[in-house]
Formats: sequence, C-alpha cells, structure tokens
Amino acid sequence: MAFTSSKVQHKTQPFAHSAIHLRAGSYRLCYSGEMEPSDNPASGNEENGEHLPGTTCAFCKTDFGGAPLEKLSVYPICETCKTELDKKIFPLWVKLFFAGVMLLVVFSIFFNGRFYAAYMNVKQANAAYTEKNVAKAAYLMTKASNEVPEAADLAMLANFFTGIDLLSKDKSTEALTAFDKCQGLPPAFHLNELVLQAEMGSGYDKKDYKLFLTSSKAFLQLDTTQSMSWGSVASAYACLYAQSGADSLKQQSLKYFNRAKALNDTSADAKEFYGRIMYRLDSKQIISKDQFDKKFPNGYTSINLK
Amino acid sequence: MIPGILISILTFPGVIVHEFAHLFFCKLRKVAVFDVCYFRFGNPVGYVIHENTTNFYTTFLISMGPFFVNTILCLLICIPAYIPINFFNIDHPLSYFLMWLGVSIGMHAVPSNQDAKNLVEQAKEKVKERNILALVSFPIVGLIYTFNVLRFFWADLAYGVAIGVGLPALLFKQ
Repeated sequence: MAFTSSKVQHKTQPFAHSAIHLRAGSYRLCYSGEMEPSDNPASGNEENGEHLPGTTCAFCKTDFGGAPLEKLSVYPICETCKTELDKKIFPLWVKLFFAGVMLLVVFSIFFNGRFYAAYMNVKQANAAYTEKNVAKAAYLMTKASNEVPEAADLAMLANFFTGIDLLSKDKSTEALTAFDKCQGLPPAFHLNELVLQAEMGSGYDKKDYKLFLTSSKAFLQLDTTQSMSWGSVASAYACLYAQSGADSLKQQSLKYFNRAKALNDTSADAKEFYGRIMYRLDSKQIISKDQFDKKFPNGYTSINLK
Repeated sequence: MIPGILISILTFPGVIVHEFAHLFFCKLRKVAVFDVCYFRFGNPVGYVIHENTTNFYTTFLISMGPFFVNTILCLLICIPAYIPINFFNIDHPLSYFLMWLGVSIGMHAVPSNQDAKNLVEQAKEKVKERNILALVSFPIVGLIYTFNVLRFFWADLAYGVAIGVGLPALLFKQ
C-alpha cells in the first residue's frame, strides 16, 4: 500500500491515505461531520510501522542505518518525512487562514472601538439623566454622537439632552434650536411639551409676549393638571399687561393665576413663581428672575392679595 | 431539507477552526498527529488522526478542544460586530461578514459523536479510578449526543447564534 498521500486521495478515499499504516487501537479520530468515516485507516493492515527497526523510517521506508531515528508516537521517522508531515498537518494556507482571522479580529476591535466607546457613553448618559444630572447626560450623549456621527438616533438624543440642559439653564432660544434637531423622536420623549416650554421661554426672553401667550396656552391644553401650566398663561398675560397696561389683560392673568393657586399653593417654587407674576401685575415691570431674587430675597407678597 | 454538507460549505471556517482546535490540543499535550484534513467536500468534512493516549485529561482536552476554541473565537469575532448592528443600527458590510464568520465558527463548536465516543471510552475506564473529570464527562457526552441528534433541527445554528448574538445581547443590553 502506498505511503504517500495526495489531495485527490483525500477526496476519494478518506482515511486510506495516511502516510503510515496505523495499528488499530493506536490512534484516535477526531472529526467534524455526521456519519462514521466510510474507510478505516487501520483496517486490514498488517504492515505496521511499530515493528520496523528504529533506523528505518516508517513513512518513507528508508533504512538510514547508524543511530536510531526520532519517533513520532511509536513510529520511527526521518527528518525529511517529519518536515513533510509538519507541513501537511499545519499547511501554509491554514496558517494564513488563522493569521487572517486574527488580523480581522484585531482590526474589527480597533475599527469598532468607537462604537464600544459610544455605547458606554450612552449608558452613562442615560444613568446621569435618571439621576437628574442633565448637564452630564447632555455632555456624554453629545460625546457618543460625535463618536458615531452616522447614527441619526444618537444625534437626536444628544440634541434632546442638550435642549433639556439649556432649558434648565433658562437658555430657551438655544434649547429651541436643539429641539428642532430632534423632531424624529418618538412621542414617549414628550418633545412637543418641551418645545412649547422652550417657546414660552424664548418668547419671554425676546419680549415676544404674544408668542409666550400662544405657547403657554398650547401647553395648558396638553396638561391642565399642573399649576405651572395655568401659571404660565397667567405670567404671559401679566407680561402683556405690563407692556400695554390694558386692564382686561390683568383680569385674564388673575383668572389663570387663581386656577394655578387652586392646584398648588404650598410649594416654594410655586410661591416664588406667583410672587413674580403678582409683582408684574402690581408694578407693570418685567424683571428677570435674578433681579427679582435680589430685590425680594424673602419673596414677594402682593398688597392686592392680602 | 438542506443537506449537512451544504451547511458545512456555507460555514467552512467553523470546520477549519474545529479541526485546528483538536490539533492545537494535541500539540499542547504532545500527542503525535498523523493526519489532518481541515476541510473537504465529503463526510466527515474534516478530521484529525492522532495517537492514542492513556491520559484522560489529554483525551478530554483534545475531544472538547473545539468547544472551547470555537466558542471563544465566535464570541471574540461577534462582539465587535454586534454593537454597531444591534445598538446603533449601522449596516456595515464588515460587521455582517464578522457575524457570518463568528456564527459559522460557533456552529461547529460542539464536538462530534466521534469526539464524544473517544471521551466516553476512556471515561469508562477512568471513572473506576474515581477520576472526577471522567465522572463529569458522562453528562457532557450525553449532551453532545443529544446536541448532535438535534442538529437535524438546526441546533448547531441555534448554538452559534446564541453565542454570537445572544451572549453579546446579554452583555450589551439596550
């Protein structure tokens, strides 16, 4: 039986091609597949490399004489056959295959590293938002969006958090610009409410009190349960009153003001907000929150409400 | 019904890695290897012929080698591709190529019945010597045989997807 093997034999005679004839029980097979191999490398083979003298290569059958040959398991093997066998069991194409796979793994880790960094930033941004740290959430989400600029959702979320952060810092006009860039967000984000809040603030900042009134009324339609919803309309009417002096506007403001007070008359935020509205109605002056806080560090109580 | 050979062709990297894993542990445990076929169009699609060993740990490692190597490699390849696809909805061809490669490798992680047979034959002897690993090997072998029966119902694909997609999904929750 021939000791040499070839790829053709591989395809046609599985296991019949081994360079040596293996004694049954001296070897094991490990293979992928569903069925038992159709041929057995040791079947009907009486010629056994194990019984060859130590100076005869079990693979090429050459008797080298002199010193005994190195052994592969129990089989003497010459240097040439060992080199050939090494090449056969771990051929160049398999080495290249694994080198390619390893390169691909390393490359993909570096190539996709930015996605991992963005993922971590998104997680931390969401955690920060849950902890009501909007500034941190906006910073991290913007960072994530910069890492993956092709992700449109991420850009919208970054603008969403940035908008909320700006809104909380009374930068309503800038917040409105940020909210304009995240119009594709699902309703669960309540973007409409935030846009109206930003419009209210922007109208106030730009002294466009008609816009302030329109937005606050639209916001009130969305949520009539909050005292701030009613208070905002009262505030807008108070601004218009301070601007024009028309008494009807003052009456409208007081109407909404009383509805707001009926819903919440106890919280510190509400008291401070009501104080500003009443000051506006009493003095016809529109001052910023900072100015108001400075002027009335202990809050403002209207003579008309006493 | 899609024949097994066609699945093996479509997932050939897994077969190569499977056989390499056997070879790797043979080399690691200094077990002589006589022949290796990494892939061919036949059944079995790949094989490793190595010398017998009486060391049960060696037999265990050689038989179970593909399970460890293929599973780890599947995870290593799929994780970097998972985040852009599933988290950011970014369809990059490289990501899909990596997913195919990873799942293909994962699909061939579970040892064959022949591997299980090698293991159980020696486990029967070694369990008499109160070898714990030999004792543990019996349920493992049972699982391997069951899994190989379930290959008919795409258990191999399910395993590849579970490792390549399911595990990253657990690690990187939305």
